[in-house]
Amino acid sequence: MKKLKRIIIAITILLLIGLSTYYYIMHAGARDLSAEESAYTVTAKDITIEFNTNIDDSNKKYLEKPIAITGIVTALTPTQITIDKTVICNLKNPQTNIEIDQLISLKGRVIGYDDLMEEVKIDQCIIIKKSL
Amino acid sequence: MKKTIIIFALLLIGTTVFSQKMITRNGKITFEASIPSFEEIKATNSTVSCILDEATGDFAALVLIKSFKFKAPLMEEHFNENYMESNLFPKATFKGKILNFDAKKLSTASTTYELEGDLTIHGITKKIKTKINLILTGGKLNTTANFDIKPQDYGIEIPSLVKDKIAKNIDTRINFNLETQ
Repeated sequence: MKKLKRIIIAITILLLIGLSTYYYIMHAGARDLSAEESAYTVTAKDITIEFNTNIDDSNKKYLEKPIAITGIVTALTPTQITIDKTVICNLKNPQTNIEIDQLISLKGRVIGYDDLMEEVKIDQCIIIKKSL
Repeated sequence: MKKTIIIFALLLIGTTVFSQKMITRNGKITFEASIPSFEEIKATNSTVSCILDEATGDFAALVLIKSFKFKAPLMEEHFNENYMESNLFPKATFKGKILNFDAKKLSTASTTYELEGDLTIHGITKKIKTKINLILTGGKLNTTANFDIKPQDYGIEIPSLVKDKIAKNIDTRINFNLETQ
């Protein structure tokens, strides 16, 4: 009887270790951008000009960094906001209460410059501030 | 004076007739490098840019590596940092042509063409040729293709420790819905 108890306890412990390892591998390591300080604060116009003039330098400066960006909303889907026509922000959580022509500030991660469309792309965006 | 007006008029007609472009910003690329009985290695990117010139069949696409989404964040991190080095090579591009493309022949029935051009991944450019299927419905051109990519062709090194868990040929699928702009 004692033996059986021990075996059950051992199996439970092994199972727990296995599950937590699996959980760690599948879910850990996700970045929480909202907890990070913005590396740069820019306007949508300025960052587009920067990328347009020198892609390589701008990539070095901005890639993977969290930035705060401000501009006017020019296009909108529930998951994506375009500001000043040239910065595409993919939102972390879908938003419904944003309107075209609104002045908006977002924080997100710079993922690169699309030189086909001449647009800067940012993802994991959260809204910091918006005009009423 | 008349001549210049005529030339201008012709130029205007020229640009409207010959530069009909179809574009998307939300194209989809999915790749899978899974080996049966090992962890699923699969990622999707649904923010691919693509431009098709209806007059010439010129086809250009661009994808930012960092916007590929995996199920597991750790896998995504390894993909970006160890394999694709996305800080050095943030994008992959394709520039080429749909051979013998004729916009007038597009219909709701699928037509298949050959797509040929330069694929640049990880800073290395290779010529590729693949079949591309086009379906036109309600002004939208659905474009799909399916081809294999070999990581070693693009200088992407896979450590011997995980070599058996990652497919040698990576099954890549594209799905773009192009619209006239």
